[in-house]
Parts: sequence; structure tokens; C-alpha cells
Amino acid sequence: MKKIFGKENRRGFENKTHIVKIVSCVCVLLIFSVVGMCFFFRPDYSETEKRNLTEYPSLTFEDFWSGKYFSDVSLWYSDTYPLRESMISANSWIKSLYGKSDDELIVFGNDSVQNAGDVSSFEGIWIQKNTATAFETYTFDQGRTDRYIEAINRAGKNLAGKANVYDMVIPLHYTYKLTDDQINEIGASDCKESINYIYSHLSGNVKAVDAHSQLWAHKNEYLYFRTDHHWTARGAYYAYVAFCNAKGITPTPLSQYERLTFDGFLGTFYSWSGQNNVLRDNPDFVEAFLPKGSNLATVTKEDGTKTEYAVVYKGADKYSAANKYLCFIGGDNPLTEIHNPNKNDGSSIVVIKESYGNAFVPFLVDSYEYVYVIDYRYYDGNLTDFVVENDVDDVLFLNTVVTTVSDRALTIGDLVG
Amino acid sequence: MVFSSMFFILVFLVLCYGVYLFGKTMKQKNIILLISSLIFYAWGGPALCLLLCLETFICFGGALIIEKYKSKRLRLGHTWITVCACLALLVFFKYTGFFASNFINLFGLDATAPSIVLPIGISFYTFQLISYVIDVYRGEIKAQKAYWKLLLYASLFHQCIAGPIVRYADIEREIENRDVSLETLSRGFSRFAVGLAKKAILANGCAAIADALLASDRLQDQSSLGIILGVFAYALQLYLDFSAYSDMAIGMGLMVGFHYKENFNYPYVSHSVTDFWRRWHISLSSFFRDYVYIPLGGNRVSLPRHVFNLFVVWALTGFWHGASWNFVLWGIFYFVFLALEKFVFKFKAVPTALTRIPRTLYTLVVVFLGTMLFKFTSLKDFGIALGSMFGANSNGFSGMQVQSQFSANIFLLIVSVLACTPIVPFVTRLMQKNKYTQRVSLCIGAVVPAMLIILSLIALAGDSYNPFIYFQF
Repeated sequence: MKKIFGKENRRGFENKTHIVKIVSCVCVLLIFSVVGMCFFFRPDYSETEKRNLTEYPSLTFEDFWSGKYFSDVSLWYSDTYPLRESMISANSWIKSLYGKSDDELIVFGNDSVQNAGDVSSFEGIWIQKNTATAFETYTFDQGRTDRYIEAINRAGKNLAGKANVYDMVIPLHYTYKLTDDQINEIGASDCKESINYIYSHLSGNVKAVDAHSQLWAHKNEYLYFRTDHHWTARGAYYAYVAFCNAKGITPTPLSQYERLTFDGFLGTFYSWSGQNNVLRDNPDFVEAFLPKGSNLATVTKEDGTKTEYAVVYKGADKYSAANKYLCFIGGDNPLTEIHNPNKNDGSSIVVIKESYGNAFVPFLVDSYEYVYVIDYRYYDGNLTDFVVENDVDDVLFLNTVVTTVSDRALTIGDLVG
Repeated sequence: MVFSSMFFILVFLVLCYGVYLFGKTMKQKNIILLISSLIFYAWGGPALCLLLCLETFICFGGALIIEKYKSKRLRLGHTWITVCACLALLVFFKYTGFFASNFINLFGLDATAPSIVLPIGISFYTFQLISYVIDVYRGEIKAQKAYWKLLLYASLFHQCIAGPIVRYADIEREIENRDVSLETLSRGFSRFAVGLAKKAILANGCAAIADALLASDRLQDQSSLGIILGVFAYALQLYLDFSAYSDMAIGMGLMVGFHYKENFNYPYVSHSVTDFWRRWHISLSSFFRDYVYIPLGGNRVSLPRHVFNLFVVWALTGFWHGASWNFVLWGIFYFVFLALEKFVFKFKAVPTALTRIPRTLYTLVVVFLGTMLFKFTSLKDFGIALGSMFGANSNGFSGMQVQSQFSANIFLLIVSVLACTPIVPFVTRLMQKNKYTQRVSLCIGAVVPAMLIILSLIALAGDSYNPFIYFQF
């Protein structure tokens, strides 16, 4: 060190700049390094990405010898780095300086999707900058779609004479917001054609619910979130109207519900895009409509315990920006039961759904005495048994087009038995 | 461990050089470097570390024996034995799967090729050790008497796993004794920061463009411009990524007093393919020149033999890059153009003012096609991409995806292109001419590295996925 900073080498201005450079670099490295050593600040859960962060690997001889242990340590280090969330956010801002994009669609590659969880056949999201809207895409696949059709038709057969079976397949957002040319360009399939294909192959025991026409008639309204892969309660309402039409009952007009809004929602697309700043600057709001009959749901959790939740949770402003969609029926649970004391005709329905169903279910509350909701991804039992035991009148499968081509169709098949 | 990971920069490097500062004697410092290099290498699997130690031991023993003998025949014989032992290890670990699967396909056998884990950096450290043994045979250097010092040379984490292929002769003296002046330390930080930023910001950014446009399931539908922009971005990525690694290696070397030779010299401004290969991965092409081409007779032989020598060198260069036919083709592709330039075009070594631009453009076109061959490890994908580029798959000339990629990354692309040209040294030299601007340039040079490190760390945290391309070799 003496040699470096000793007298003989200090040659005026140039040496001063060397010292500034070295000291600043060393300081930056040391500061970031010390932050990394703050183990107690390391997060174990990411709110924006909705996932548990990588855990510190456990040491086994096999992992040690193959080097897996070490690569896991490196991954753990960067995944739980204390400043990671703000750095990702800063990076997203820096990336927006890479170029300009007016009204073009920007694609985010597959690699940001590894933690998508819920939407498994996700193929990369697109962001339309001028409308600050992110879209996921869906691609038709006949073989996979046939698996879904087969599962639904089997339900129709198993439940024939026991309950009415309805199937409602929901298109994705881009169907209503992008032109045919744009849909073609992003390599997505025409959802309407796919739904027509499914409905035309349903057996006589299953009634198709044409949600698309209702949504299309209102396509300029706020039907889907821009920063999240779900639809809004308003979108779900028009699907409810379609269901009422299929069943032959009168829907409750939207104006008769008490309306709530929760601001500042930044959903899954926001985190999948690496906290894209266009989305961040234009958050969604969550609109919810309170059911009149009852706002109380009994939820059976995965561990078998029962809890009570609100059908529509009025305090969802307190939820973090990423979690506001959880205001509907307490999120995804194996089984949810809602009893409407205003009715006593014993009428009942079971909705077989993924998370899109959550915003939909509140509208059913006033049309039935009992509403049961099964999230097929978490429920273990058999559908026919459930229908018989609870003397259910109507069975509604509510799935997005993405589900019809994903392996979740097999899970539906398991439930149907 | 990769240089572009937060763990490497913030834990390994900080700890390693932090401890290094406490080393009092050169021996202590070397031991600290050796231990950290072995830890660095073992991070990819401790088992593979044994292979590195074994191969180093073979060359260590081989060199001592070669030096002991006076008779040329015995010396040569032992050199062959040692070199072949190293090559056998390389071939076994790198090419067994490739040869086996080709054999199986050729004879239509019902078997599966064995899959052998490729030890990280084996292509690089094997070549380093071979150069050491041959240099001892040639009497250019003395054999190292201490095994651990040779192991330090082979395993030094700066260059062990992705080059540059450092010659023992170049650092022989610096292993024994080296000095760090304020100026080299400062240069080391600059090089390291520039390399890190080239990798974390530019190369990874270009990689995202290339991956989006050249995804193999969409090649069929990609527009002509989409393929062109994709390959262009990939070419930028390839250079920035690999030269970044060398920059970081050179920078980290300077910080502790090692002076490695330059590995790249702005290859994308070459005026001929020959020139390109004098500027691209210099340590590899000079290895093949010194240890294959010249021993075969080089250019002081008959014309057919000269062509043959070139062919051998380039087929090997291609094959070195990967156990796959596209790399062999890639090497032969360059052989064709190098031979054309030597024997048909008869290019002058230095272009005139008039021929400079056309020659540069011609070189870029050849390199562009070469990059395509390099990118598509499956020849089928290469064919599809070529078809899409020339409109054979009726996908149109342009498309929305390429337009959006281009406009969303236009500034990134401009900066990346500039980073491939010697513009920064040029401007710096201009600024040296005046005392005032010279001071400005020194000030800029003093603050930029720290900023680059911050930006790079942010970029690394932002992209979870960032392997160096040259790791596969």
C-alpha cells in the first residue's frame, strides 16, 4: 500500500484522478457487499412477484459434490439480496431508456415468466405502451383442447339427470383491445374461434354459455385489468348476464349493487414484466359490487380448516398494491360456500373455477340459496359425489381459454372422475 | 461462478482481494490467489477441480522430464506423450458424446450416446497447459519447479474458465514477483468496470433482442428484417459478451499486478477476414498459429500444403468452439474466405483509402453469415433462418415484432455498436492534445467506472438470467 499512496508516486493531477477512481470503485463495491451481508434484511417473500424467494440450500454431500449446492447459494444470494426489489424497479426504468416506443407493442420474453404459477401455458406478455396495457397470449392446440372438451363432456354424462351442466370459456383481454392484424402479429389465436370449436363439440348434456357476445357488446368498458391477468368484476358481470340468459333467469341490473373501488392495483403483469414503469405509472383500480343477499363465505382451506371470509372484502384498500384482486371470496381456496338467507327454495350451484371465477361468484349469490365454489386446482374430492351429497342443481365450469390448452384440463378431468 | 453474478462481485471478489491485501510476501499473496482460485473453480463442482489438478500435474511432471533430457528425440517423445494425455482428457470430456451420437446415427445403432458433464473451462486451461509444455520443449521457458505455482497459472480465476488463453511465458516473471502501481490499479478498475458494464448492460440487452427475434419455434414465421436484426443483435452480443469477459479478466489481473495480453482489438472494424481473425479472440488464433499452423510448415511450403495447413487450423478452430457440426462448418466457412483472400483476391495487407470501405463492408457481410452459422447449433434452424431472411417462407419483409424491438432498443443498439468501434480511445486521444480537455477526460475517467459498476449491479439484479456465452466451450 505504501507504494501506491507513497510520496514518490504522487504526481499531481493525474494521480489524484486515479485515487478518486479507485476509492469510488472500492466504496461502491464495499457498500453493496456490506448490504449483501445484512442477513437479517434478506426478504423471504416477494410481494410484487407473489412468490417465496429462494431458500438457503441445505447441504447434502451429493449437491456439494456436483456443485449444485454452490449454484444454489449464488442464486439464493441474488434472489434475496436486500435491495433487490428497488434494483429491479430501477432497472426497469433504465430499460425504458433503451429506446422509444409510441404505440407499439413490446414483448417481454419467456424468461421473466418462470414464477407465473397460476397461468402455466403463458407464452410471454406484450405491453401496449400508449394504453399502458399488458396482454398475455393464448395459442390454440387441438389435441390439448380436446382433452378439455372430453373432461367437460364426461361431467355432462356423469351428472346427467342429477344436475344441469354449464360450460363457460372466457376469452383473453386482447380479443377486445387489439385488431386482428395485431393479434396475428403477436402470434396469438382467435379466442372466439377456439371457443366456437369447444362449444360445437360439447355433448347435449352440457349447455354452452356465450360470454364472448356479452363482453364484445361492452368491449369499450373496463372489462380486464391492464396490469394483471384477470378480468374485472365488470367483465365478470357481463359473463354473469350471459349465464342468466343461458339459464333463463333475469340478471340483477348492475346499478342495483353497491359499488366499491380500490385504487392502486399493480397485478401479475407488472411483476412479470420486471416492474415495467409504464404499468407502474398507470395502475389499475379494482371495482367490486356487493352482493345483496349475504356477504359471508365459509372457506375450507387446503389444510381442511374452515374460516369465514367476506364475499367482497370492503377493506381491500389495505391490501398491498399487488394483492387487491384477493378482495373477491378470499382468493383461491379448495371449497367456498355461500348461503343466501333471502332465498329458501333450496336452489344451488357449484362453480368449478380458477381465479377468474373469484370476481364472478359474488353475482351468483342473489340468484341461489346456496353457492358452492370449487377451485379444481386445490380440491381433492370427486365432483359427482359433491353434487349428490349437497343436492346441487347447477354445475358451472368457468375457465379461460388458457386453461383449455393447459395441463390444468387434466386436473379438471380428475375432479370429474 | 460467473463474473457477471452478484455473488462473484460482491462476495468472492471483495473477500478475495480484501484478504489479498493482508498478504505480506509474494508467497503469501500467491497462496491466497491459489486458494481463492481453487474455491472459484470448485464452485462449479468440486469433482471437476480434481481434473484440473490432475491435468496440471501431468503437465508439471511432463515438463520436468522434458527439461531433464538432452536428446532431442526423447524430449520430443515426452512432449508428445504429455500433450496427447492433455488432449485425450479434453477429447474425452468434450467430444465423447458427439462422436458417440454420430457413430450411432451413422450405423443406425439402437443405443444412446453417453452424456458427460463438460468440466468448466477445460478448453481454455488445457490449451494453456499445452502451450506451457511445448514452450518448455522449445526451450523458451524453464519448467516450473513448484507444482503449486503451475497450478496457480492454470487455475487463476481471472482466465481459467473463459480465457484469454494466457501463455506461461507472459506471466512467468509476474508469478514470482509483481508490482502494483497506482496507475495499474486504476487501469485495472477501469477495465473491470467497462467489462462488467459491457456484459451486464449491453450484451445482456442485445441478448434479449436476439432471443426474442430468433426463438427457434418462431423462426419459420419471422420476417426478413426480423432475422437480420436478430442476427445483428446476436453478433453484437457475441463480441460484447466475450470481450467483456476478457476485459474483466485483464482488469482483475492488473489489480494484483498481472499483465495479460489483449484478446480483442475491435474486430468489427476489420478490413478483411484475415484482419478480423487477427483482432478476434487473439489468444486462441495465436495459439493455433504457434502450435499448429507454423509446426505444420505454415506458408513456407507448397501451395497445396499451405491450403491444407490453413484447412486444418480452421477446422480445429471451429471444432474447439463446440462439439457440434455447425461449429466445424463455421470454421471451414472462415477457411474458405481466408483462402480466397490469400490466393484469389490477393488483398494488400493495408487497404488504400479507396478500398477500405468496400473491404470493411465485405468483411461485415462475411462475419454476419459466420455469426448465423455460429448461432444456430441445429443446421435445420440455420436453414429455416436463411429461408426466412430471403423471404422463402413468405413472411414478408418486415413485421410488428421487429419494428417494436428496434424502436424499443434503438439507443441500446447505438451504444452497443459504438462499443464495438474504437471511438472511446479515439476521442480520448483527441482530448489529450489540449491541456484543458486532457484534464476533463481524466475527470470523466475517474468517476465513470464507479457509476458503471452501480448500473451493472442494478442490471444484474434486474435480469435473473445471464450466463456468459463462452462458457459452453
